[in-house]
Amino acid sequence: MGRAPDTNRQLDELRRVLLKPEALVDRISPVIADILAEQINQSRDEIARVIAPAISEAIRHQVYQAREDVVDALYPVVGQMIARAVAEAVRNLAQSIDERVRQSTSLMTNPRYWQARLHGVSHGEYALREVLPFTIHEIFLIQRESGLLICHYSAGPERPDRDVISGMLTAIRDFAQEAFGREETGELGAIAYESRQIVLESGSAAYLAVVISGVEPSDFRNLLRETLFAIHEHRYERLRAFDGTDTQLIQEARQILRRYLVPQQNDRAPRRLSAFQRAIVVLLGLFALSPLILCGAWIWHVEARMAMLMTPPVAASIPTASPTATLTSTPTATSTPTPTRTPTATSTPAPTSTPTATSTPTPTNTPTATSTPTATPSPFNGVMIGNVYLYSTPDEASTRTSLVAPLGAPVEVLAQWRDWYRVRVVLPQSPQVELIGWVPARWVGLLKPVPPELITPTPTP
Amino acid sequence: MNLIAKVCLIGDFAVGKTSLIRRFTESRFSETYLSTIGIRVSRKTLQTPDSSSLTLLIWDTAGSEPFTTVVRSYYRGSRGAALVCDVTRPETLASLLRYADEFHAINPDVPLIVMANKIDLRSERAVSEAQLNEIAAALDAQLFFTSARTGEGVEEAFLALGQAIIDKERVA
Ligand SMILES: Nc1nc2c(ncn2[C@@H]2O[C@H](COP(=O)(O)OP(=O)(O)OP(=O)(O)O)[C@@H](O)[C@H]2O)c(=O)[nH]1
Ligand SMILES: [Mg+2]
Repeated sequence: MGRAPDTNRQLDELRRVLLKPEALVDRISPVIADILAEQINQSRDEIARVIAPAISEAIRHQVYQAREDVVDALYPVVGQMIARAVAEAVRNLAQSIDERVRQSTSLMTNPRYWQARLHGVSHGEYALREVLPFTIHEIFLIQRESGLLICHYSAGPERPDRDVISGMLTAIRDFAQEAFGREETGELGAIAYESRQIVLESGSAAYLAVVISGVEPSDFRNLLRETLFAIHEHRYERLRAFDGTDTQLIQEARQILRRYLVPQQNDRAPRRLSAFQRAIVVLLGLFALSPLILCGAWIWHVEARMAMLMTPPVAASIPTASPTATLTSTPTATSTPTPTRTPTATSTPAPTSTPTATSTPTPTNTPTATSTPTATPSPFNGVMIGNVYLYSTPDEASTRTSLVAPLGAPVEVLAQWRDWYRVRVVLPQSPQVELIGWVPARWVGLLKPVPPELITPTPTP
Repeated sequence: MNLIAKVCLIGDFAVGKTSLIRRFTESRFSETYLSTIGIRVSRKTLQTPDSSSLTLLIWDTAGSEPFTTVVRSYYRGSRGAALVCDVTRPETLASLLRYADEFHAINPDVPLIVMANKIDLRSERAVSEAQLNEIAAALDAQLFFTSARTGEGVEEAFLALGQAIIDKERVA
């Protein structure tokens, strides 16, 4: 009979477990996880179907009850997703702008580019606008009160339901106005759908609804107002009374829409430029041509100087101060004899000589009675085409002159070694000063070829 | 002459306004009831005997939200209206007076018609002809017995409204 008390004890235990929920939980808990895991493994879909509504409800509940917590929990994922999407969009935009700017030469070939520049649009802005082109797809002129369509323009094929759309647009406008209170003076300004926008601008008897895509120009609203003003001018009563029979009004409104808003193809006479715009065009033209003009002027300057130098000195140069003294007879340098100039013979080139700046007689400037016109050709056979120092040897590391051989100064090539010239340069502003030294050949414009005897195999002439 | 006119259909919810317009413009009828929210605009062009035309832009209002400023704003610029009641629901007839008042406050002197709808439901009819005539007379409106389901009287009613608008236009 040792079993009876044992059985009783077990029965007691069983009763306790069954009747006391905590005890039951204690006993079942350890196995519940296993049972669930097994059940999920066996019938995954079934379980999903059963618990999905509960989970959805729980999530919904949680979103309403603890929005902040949900936001916190989702932020790392959603935030990142949004950041990535935005970054992607910005990158795409940047790429297309980049592409456009790269093709900026093709931008510039478009007459509209120059028209835009004339109106103060920057190159960047224009390029951006080309990337995000602004297009007017449709224009509705609608009677304000009734929503009747007065006239319509479409860039694409005309669709028959536009009068119904006008009614609906008017209803939406009315609704917005009533919903947000009549005391609010504002009106519905735009309706956006996908990439398009309906821009609304109201006049007192009619309003405009313009379907656009892209970024509208900054003065677009102004343009709409101007258009409405032009339509309303002298037509207010007719617009208010419009019932479809006033075909003249439809025609006039259509013409105004064309003039102000309809993108021009070939139906519009080319617009005449105002005097101011023409002046700007001329200035721009001059500006564009300025490098050419400058170049031309420079060449002319050099040529003139060369011509002057190539001309043999004229004896008894005509004094610029005329003998008949006038009140303006300011003595000029050219007419003043300078007897102090002592001719020096130091200008002999010495192979190792440091570049020298010596005073030389300037026969052309001294009107001496002895100087007769001679046929001796000018010694100069080139001209400096840059402001550069002369060197003591054909080496940029060697000693150089303290003065610069100036652009446009006449040059006598004394010797050539490789692409270096040994030159004598007369300073145009003080012709009595001359520089002698080596200069890279690229800085000398030759008017005559260098005589072969001057080309030396060694730098020492 | 191509006249264009905005007209409104007004009346309590479920009297059959949308159904009447659908019957008139598309020759269709549906048993299911989808209450109109906001507004719906439809169009139908009528040829007049003198070979001119009248295009009706028909604004279908929502009966479930009557007498609000939003609905009133939809009346603006109308040249006529059809007041619709349901012959199986007497209360829909009573409210026609108020609709007419509201409508005329915004568009004085424009023609009205009364459409007594759902006359196909003969056994359920709860409004007498005398009552209808009385209301129509009070509103100075022509009365039409219509069924959007069968199409009975629908075309005639809209044509009469169109004719009234044309007559008004001629007088003006
Ligand atoms: N038997 C019958 N049923 C109709 C008739 N006209 C409309 N109905 C039905 O009545 C219900 C309401 O019709 P709607 O046309 O939607 O009514 P409504 O006046 O536009 O209603 P709201 O838009 O809510 O103002 C629908 O189930 C229609 O099928 C009719 O002439 N005869
Ligand atoms: Mg309806």
